[in-house]
Amino acid sequence: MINLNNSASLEVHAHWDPIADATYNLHKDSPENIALFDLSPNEPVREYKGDAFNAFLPASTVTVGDVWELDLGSVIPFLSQFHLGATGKLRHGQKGAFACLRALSPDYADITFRIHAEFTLATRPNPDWKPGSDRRRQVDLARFIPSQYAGRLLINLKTGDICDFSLALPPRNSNVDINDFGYADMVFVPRMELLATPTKASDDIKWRDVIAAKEARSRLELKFYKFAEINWLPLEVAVAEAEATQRPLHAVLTWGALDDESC
Amino acid sequence: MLLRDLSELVNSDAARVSLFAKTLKDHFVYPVDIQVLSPEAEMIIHQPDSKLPDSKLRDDRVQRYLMLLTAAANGEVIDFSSETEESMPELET
Repeated sequence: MINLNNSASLEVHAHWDPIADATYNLHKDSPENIALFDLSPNEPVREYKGDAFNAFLPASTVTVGDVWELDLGSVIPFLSQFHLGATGKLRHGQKGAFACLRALSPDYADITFRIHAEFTLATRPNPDWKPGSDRRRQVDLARFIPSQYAGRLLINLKTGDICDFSLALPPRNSNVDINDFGYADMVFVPRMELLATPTKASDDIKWRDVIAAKEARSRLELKFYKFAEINWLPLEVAVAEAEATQRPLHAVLTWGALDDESC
Repeated sequence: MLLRDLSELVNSDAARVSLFAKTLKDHFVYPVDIQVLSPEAEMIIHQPDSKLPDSKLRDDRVQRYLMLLTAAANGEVIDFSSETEESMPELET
């Protein structure tokens, strides 16, 4: 079990870049949308008590590589530092939050986590809604839907202090789906991150048990997507395998990424 | 793979990669598209999402995608393209 130093506090900074690229430029197609998607952190700096980070810890003993589910009700408040419309109740896609113990030493524990969440930016009555029809359609939403949040928590097991905390939207073009009361676009936000400073851990931790960061991310992805069990190959490799084995090549082409919530 | 990545692959120096990428790109139908090509890059099956049997049940469509993907992982081919709503077989859940 990991016990945090509840009396310590940690300052977390929020960074949120403007939309840098888009497929249809929906965010710029009217004065209303320019205002709607002119986004910046709700709280650029927030001080957290140590016990807030219990949200990312397992409820029971785990070993390196184990994955556990996080309580969205405890995790979403972190995202409210970006925007008060943060919610884990996705309209579509795979909801949830999971963490994996990536590395362990006598002194430190390194946790990798992944959160799926979105932000309700504005609401308005749906003019086409009629009593008796789907209640979810009663209100139109403007939404900001990140692909995912990938995070890291490094804990000093001796003191219970948080040595490192980050939670970030992976900077891939495109990494956010936006929706303005029915119309949608895929956009690129270069940086959207919560970052604690300063870090106080040694740069040279001797892990007793460890898995690679990529392996930890893969284990988390499997919790969200059944198809992650398939060994997907890049086209160059798949073409060579098709030729070598004389088996057909089965391709799934998509407009946006399947393995996150950006599309 | 992502549609936007195909443009770069069409221009690949590797002729076979370019041929496959061009075939895939030329047939792509928005927004999700399954294509099965022979080792010679001939089209065997083209199954755009928009033409998947339109079951009212989302879980049923998910099961169909899983069947397609599992078959792909095993080097097998399933063709739903000629199915109608009435002719769809029962799926295991």
